[in-house]
Amino acid sequence: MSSAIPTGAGAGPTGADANSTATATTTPTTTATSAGAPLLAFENVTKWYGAVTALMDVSFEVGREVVGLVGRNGVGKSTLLKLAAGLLHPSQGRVSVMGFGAQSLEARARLGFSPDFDRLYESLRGRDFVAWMLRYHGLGAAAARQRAEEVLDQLGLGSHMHRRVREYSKGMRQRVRLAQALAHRPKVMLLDEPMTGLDPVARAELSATIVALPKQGVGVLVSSHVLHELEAIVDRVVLVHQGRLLGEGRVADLREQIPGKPKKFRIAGGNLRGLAAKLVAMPQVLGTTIVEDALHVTVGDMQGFHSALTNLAAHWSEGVREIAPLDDDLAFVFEHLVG
Amino acid sequence: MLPRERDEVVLPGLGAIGTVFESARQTLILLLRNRLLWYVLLAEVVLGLAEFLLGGLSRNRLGARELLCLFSWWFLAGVVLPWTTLYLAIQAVHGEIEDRTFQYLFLRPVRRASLLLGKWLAVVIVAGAIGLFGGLCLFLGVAARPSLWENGIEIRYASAFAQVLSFGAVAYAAVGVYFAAALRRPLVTAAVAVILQMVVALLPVSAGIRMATVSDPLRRLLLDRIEPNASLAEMLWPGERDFRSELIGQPVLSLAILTAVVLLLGMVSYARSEYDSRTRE
Repeated sequence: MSSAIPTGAGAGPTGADANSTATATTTPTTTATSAGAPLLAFENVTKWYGAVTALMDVSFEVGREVVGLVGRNGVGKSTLLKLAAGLLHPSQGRVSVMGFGAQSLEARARLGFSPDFDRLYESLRGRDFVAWMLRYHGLGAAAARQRAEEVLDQLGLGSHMHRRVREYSKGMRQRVRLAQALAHRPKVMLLDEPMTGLDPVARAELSATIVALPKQGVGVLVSSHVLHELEAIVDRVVLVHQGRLLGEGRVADLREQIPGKPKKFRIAGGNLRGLAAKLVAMPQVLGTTIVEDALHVTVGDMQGFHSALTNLAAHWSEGVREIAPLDDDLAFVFEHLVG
Repeated sequence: MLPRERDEVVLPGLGAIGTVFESARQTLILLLRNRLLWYVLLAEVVLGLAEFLLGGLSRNRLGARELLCLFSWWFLAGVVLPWTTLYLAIQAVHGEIEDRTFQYLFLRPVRRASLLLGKWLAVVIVAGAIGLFGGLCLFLGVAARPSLWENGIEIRYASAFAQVLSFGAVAYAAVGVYFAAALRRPLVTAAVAVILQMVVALLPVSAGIRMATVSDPLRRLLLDRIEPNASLAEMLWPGERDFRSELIGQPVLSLAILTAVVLLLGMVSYARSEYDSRTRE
């Protein structure tokens, strides 16, 4: 699977007048926008299913970056993605893709969505399925087939694209879903559980593909239950719980905002017992434990700890090889925030 | 990989007419892979053979016209055509809703109404072909027994049934896509509706409700085209003892209105529904 799937880099009008000025065109249009404009924006979005509130007053934006959507099952992640894809209507608020209302044709021309369900047109060949979808984007039959072959080839299905979808493995079907989402060169990609069913090699390849998309001007909103894999590919995360936005930002920044929670560090170096004694003497340190060839240090108050630790490391005659946070990961932040 | 300059391009989407034809093309390909279609065609051949055999047994009781009308109206136009058309329409539209593959289509920069029109068109083509093939089988079934025809083989009967079955395919396909787009259990509803409309259509002309069925205008169209004698009219419309040509009215207009209304309702429903919402699940 290649990590360089060509996609578009343009953008459409933004702002309140976008919908009024935008019309479906019959010829390809080249578009441009400022680099800072959001590609995908949720503005005070609320979604009710009858008496059930699926989302409540959610606002966030996605630029040319990979944003991870994190939350437990049933908290509204899929609803968010479907709202962005225009498959659902917000009860209140607005969802826009490059300034166009999410349900407009202009938005759909700029959006790719890889859903989480494992259904395709089973009787079709993989190449034909992707080509069929491309036809609705205005490509002629030959151009659609050519483009479908290119994308499937880049996703590692080159030798299998002429087999029927019903004969595909789960991972191959996942790649076909990705191919139909990527083939028309979208500016915004929505990926719902894209790692599901992929083997480790394919996961790594897909991760590389996703990470490469922002460099081509594409904004990506991706949901996944595999938090450590998500953490490796996202620039930011959006945490959703019970239909509300719990927080958004870089994982490390979110961790910093958790007050009163002791932080843990791993420190490796020489003479661990001596180092532990020095650390325990610091007022910020709550305790230390030797685990294999390193110290695990629990810090209660970060105020002044970094400078004290840097000073200690610089003057420790036995040497300090590594200082790494142990609980800056997404799983920790998520578990803490959702309780 | 395509040239870099193409990377800057936003593909605009297919126009409304193009979407209708592309949707029809794709739906047609998928429908032709449906085994039921081929079973129905086989059943129509069997029906034609049955008619041929019955013609040999009933020489002194049923004439060619009666036999043809009995099979073509009551079996083909009354049972095979509505059931098959509704089933295919529901498969084409609701099948995608059930397995959620509709999402792939709804993500494209095309109008949902155009997608539905294309699906309707594909169902009309397939159902029309089924109807015409069945009509041909049944006509050949009686045409193969020249002795049953008092005044020689009358081609106008084949023409009349071809028209009835074609209009029937158009109308039933519209009803089918409407059920599929608007209802959660369209197959059950369609089954009830087909039976109900057959019963309602039997009512005498004074019962205005029969106007809301597909069967009634189809029957009036048939009666208009074949100009039956009293016994044949009674066979085709048992509920109306006193058939007169004034009762025929404008069946094509009735069918056109019915088709347009249900198709419009189906398009509105298809365009506005949240098929993937939790409420629906």
